[in-house]
Amino acid sequence: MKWVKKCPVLFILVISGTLFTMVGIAGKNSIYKDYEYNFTGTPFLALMMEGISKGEYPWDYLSYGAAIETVSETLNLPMGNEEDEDTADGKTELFEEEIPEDDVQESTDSNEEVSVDKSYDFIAVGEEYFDDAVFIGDSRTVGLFEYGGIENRSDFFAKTSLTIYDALTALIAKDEETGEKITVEEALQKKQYGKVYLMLGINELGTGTTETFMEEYKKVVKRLEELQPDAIIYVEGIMRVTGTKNESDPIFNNTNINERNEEIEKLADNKKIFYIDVNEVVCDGQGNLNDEYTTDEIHLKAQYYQRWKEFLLTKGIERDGE
Amino acid sequence: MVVFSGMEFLFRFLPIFLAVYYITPQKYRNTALLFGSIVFYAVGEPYFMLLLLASVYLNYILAKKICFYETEHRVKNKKKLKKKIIRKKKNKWLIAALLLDVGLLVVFKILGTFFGNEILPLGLSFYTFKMISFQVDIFRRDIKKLPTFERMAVYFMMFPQIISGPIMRYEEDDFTQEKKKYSWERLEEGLQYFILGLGTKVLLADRLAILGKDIHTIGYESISTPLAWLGAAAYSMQLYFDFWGYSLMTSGLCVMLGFPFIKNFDHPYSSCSISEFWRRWHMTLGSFFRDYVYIPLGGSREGRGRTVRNLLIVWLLTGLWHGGSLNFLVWGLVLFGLIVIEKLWIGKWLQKYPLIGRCYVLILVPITWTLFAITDINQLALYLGRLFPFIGGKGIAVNPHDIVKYLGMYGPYLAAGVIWCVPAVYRFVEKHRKHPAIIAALVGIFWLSVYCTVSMGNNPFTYLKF
Repeated sequence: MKWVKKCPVLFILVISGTLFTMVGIAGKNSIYKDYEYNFTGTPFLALMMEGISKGEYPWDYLSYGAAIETVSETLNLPMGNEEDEDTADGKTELFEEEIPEDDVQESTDSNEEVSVDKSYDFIAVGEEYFDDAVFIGDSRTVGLFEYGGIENRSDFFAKTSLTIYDALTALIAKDEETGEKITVEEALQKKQYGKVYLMLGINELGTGTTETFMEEYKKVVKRLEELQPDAIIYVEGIMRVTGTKNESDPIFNNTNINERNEEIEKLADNKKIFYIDVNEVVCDGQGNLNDEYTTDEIHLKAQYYQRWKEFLLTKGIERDGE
Repeated sequence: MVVFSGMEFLFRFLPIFLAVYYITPQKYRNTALLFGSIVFYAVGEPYFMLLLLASVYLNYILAKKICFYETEHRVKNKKKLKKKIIRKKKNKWLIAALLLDVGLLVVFKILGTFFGNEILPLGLSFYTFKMISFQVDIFRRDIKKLPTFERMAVYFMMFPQIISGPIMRYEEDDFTQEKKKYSWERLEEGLQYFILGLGTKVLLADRLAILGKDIHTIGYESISTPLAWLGAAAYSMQLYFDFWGYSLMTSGLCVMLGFPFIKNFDHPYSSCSISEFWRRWHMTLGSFFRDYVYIPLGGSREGRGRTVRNLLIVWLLTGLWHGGSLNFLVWGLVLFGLIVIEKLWIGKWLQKYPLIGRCYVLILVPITWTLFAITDINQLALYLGRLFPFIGGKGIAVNPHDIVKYLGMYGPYLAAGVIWCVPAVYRFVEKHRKHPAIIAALVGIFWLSVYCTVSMGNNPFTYLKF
């Protein structure tokens, strides 16, 4: 073992590499079982690394095993059920049980105030329309914030890689008094807006199905309604990608985007929730994102965010009594 | 697999190859390396494997011919008249060899210009240059004895150098020595260089590359002037760390296999002039052009006019070697201009005032890299316009605060990069490489690099999320 002294780096790498590989092998069928694995491209230790990058640490393995055992003991379930989903479902059930009461109250409230059956048409408005607006979205909305020229009028709760799953819980808003970072949900509790614009969905294309996505989307919209009872909620269609991307990408293509957009559109009641689709002004004849407006096939170039803003200005809603 | 920082190379090819290599008796290690290199290349590029093998074989035949007329005939025929004929015949074979190697490179470069660089065979620009230098060295009798086919094939094809060089010379250091130095110490030393290179590439170059991507997404017409300069600086570092990192990995691998450490970069950003910068950047390419183009043309010994002409040829070739589009030509010409100015007028003065010299290099080099980076001439004009707004580069929809965002995002990487550019820092690490703290740091850098590669590799868009 003379070489150990001569090659400390090599020695430590061999030892740690073996250790990480063992963690990977141990977790392969449990905590890492959903990860893609192929022998040549992913050494076992890569599973562990991937887990860490997703916030699942090797020591979760211990609690993973324990959790499954207790669950299956108490419920008499066979081993190997997806523990995460179970608990998530449990939570939502509780959540949904609470909501209806509020909902009923709310709808009766608004029934008294305005005639709720009335639906509205879009009208052209001026930029002051954005003064009481808030935008929630991913990197595309970040671009609108940076280059749309309305950053002084509206609030933006947007961040690269934001998804519908963390739209309300992400720490991307600022407490206006203390300057502390707060979640979107907290921010929406503190301040009432006239309009809420929501564009999310491209990052989620790789996860779940349209159904699971919409399930979460509906939850978020519902919560937005509760938090902002007087606001108009704009659910925006996901901006498409260019033709070349559309043809080459198995996930991030316009077929998948359109499928989800159609479902998002169904949420609109044209009373309180409105569907708008910016693709009308940024796409070419084939319905793909115009090549001239982008360099990376996904994001608008800075100067074309103006088109988005102009488009929003044609989609104003003026309700009676406002 | 041909990416040294990839999982397949790090955890499949390399450990298996190293084990096989060291189990093989010393006598057959070159054979092991040759087969390893064939596997390595074939996995990355199965089709052009044949082209590589064919050109290696043809080069061997031609080298044999050149050697034959040089040695055997000379001994037999001592008459002067005969010597002339021999010289002629020898020339003929050298010309054939050069036509083959240069022709191969030129044909593919032209094809690449029209159909995109994806069709270029892996490593072509580098292995043809090795072949040219090999044939000329045989011709000049710098290589004294014709090597065996296997040894020559190893030289051309060895996997650490096949992708992007360095363009090591056959005679360099102890490559040709029969007895190589194998030891645990050298294995460790090579591994340490490899890790330094890995970290330089993955943790610095790959991070800084994302800034370039961001700027591209915004559109050059819409970036503020400070951001344009930040982008140029970041690109200068990215390019350096990418290539230097690769070179460190390559040389580390060579040392691990018992070969010499080939120096390809010598802290270029601490140079005092552009000429010096290019003596310290991609050194093996510079010395190739010096030894096989500049000096044969007469170098700087035949008067000012000739010197300038020779420099012009060298820099045009350097530009074209990097790529066929117009911007590379412009880039080469600008460097030519700067180097001529230095050679004729300000060079000595710059060396005398190193502080001014360094500032001059640090301002000019990023501008030349901009010319290098942006292959579309219209886009290049837009970017230059943003770098120098006073010469008419009016922006569209510029967000003047963009610099704040990107400094925040990339500041730490830029700061780390600046530190890593300082020669003293590198020398310190090199000197104390057996210190436990450095050892711990290297292990940390290795796993962090692996972690970064894995976590980004899972994203279908290597770098970005939306």
